[in-house]
Amino acid sequence: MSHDPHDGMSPSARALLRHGAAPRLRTASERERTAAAVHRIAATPAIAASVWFGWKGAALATALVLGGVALVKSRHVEAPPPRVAHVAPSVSRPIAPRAPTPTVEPATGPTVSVTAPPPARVVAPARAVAPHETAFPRAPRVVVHEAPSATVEPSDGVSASAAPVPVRLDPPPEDEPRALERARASLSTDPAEALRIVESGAASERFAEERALIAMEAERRLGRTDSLHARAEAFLRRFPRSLYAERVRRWVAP
Amino acid sequence: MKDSTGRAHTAPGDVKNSAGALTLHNESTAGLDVESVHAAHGDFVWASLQRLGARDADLEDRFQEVFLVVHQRGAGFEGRSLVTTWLFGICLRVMAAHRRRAWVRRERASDDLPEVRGTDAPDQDLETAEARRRLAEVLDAMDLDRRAVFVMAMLEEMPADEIASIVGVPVGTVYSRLHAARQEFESTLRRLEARDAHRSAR
Repeated sequence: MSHDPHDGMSPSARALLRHGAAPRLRTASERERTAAAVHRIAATPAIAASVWFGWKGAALATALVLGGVALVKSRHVEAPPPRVAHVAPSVSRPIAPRAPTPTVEPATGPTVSVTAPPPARVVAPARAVAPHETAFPRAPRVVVHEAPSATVEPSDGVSASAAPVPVRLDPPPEDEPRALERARASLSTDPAEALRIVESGAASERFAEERALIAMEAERRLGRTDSLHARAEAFLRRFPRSLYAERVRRWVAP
Repeated sequence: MKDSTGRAHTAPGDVKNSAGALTLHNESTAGLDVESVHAAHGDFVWASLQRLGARDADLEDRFQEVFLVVHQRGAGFEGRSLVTTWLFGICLRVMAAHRRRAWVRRERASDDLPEVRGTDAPDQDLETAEARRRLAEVLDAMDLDRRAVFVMAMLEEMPADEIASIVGVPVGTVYSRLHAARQEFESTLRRLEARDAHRSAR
């Protein structure tokens, strides 16, 4: 990203980034106060800071262990009933089991408070999904086949028209960013392999620029100047305002 | 990497080691002294915290937290990355921890943006302050993951692999987040401009 990173953005966005990007500098008094604070920090033996952070870690580890033990115990004591839809109202544990969250207030001193989770019943805890994962939903592709013939009688006596439509779940294709990452990692050791990956894998419009860039880098490393020029021309025609346009122009500059 | 004025962020005392990593002058790559780091990169930390969403009211507290970590971890710094890269990673983690605190989430909704401070060129200062306020408003609409990647790529001009090492994700994910962040940036900006136009028309 050593070219103009604002390439491809709207004029108003570029103007905003140009004019608003410079953060506010420290005032003289802020500079004095922060320097004094850092001086105080420096005067504290690093071991003291380690102990302070160590307390945080120890408290967190203890809470995690306690939470884990409580979780295992509750699962052991309450063998999961076959069909538990919800926690019965008689269970008077209002707090749902969750990872303990240490509350740390560094500015006020080494005060650490940790809320250990109560041993409450757990029903199929769902995995937290990181925000970035939602950008690449991995829902398998669903292929719907023709409905079965009405002459087929289901063995359970349900009419053919009420029978569920069979679906086939195809394995999901390789995550495209992962493939790009593999290709990028191969560039230095095996550019031919990098080229093969980007040309054979998934090819969404979303990563077309990155794919083309890796392909050009591979061609460059393989010494295929003609191919590089052909790809670069096509790239610049298609993405004249790309983030990578300047880099590509440098590669093919006479 | 650039500093707050847009220049490459190299402090006068900085030198590059044999591996090309930037280290502080007279400092061994086997450790960093907190006051030297502050002298060379205090402004960078101050700027990074703002770009990651620190408000004026708590900027100094976050700043101290960063240098507390520098003091604690500086001895283990091995010079395998730029000092600024390392510092940005600390800023990011400090801000992530700060945002997770419940009272911060409640407070942010009604928090005022930085006040305009007077200088010798009030018109230009007002314009800059307004742009800064608007930029903060747009960036605040993003979650911290996207915001961090956007800030590192678009404002700090860091390379994708460096961003990936800070955030701890593959380079492909960096591109993905940057792509999403740019789109979100543009759409939020358009929405805010439309809102302002509507208000001024009334």
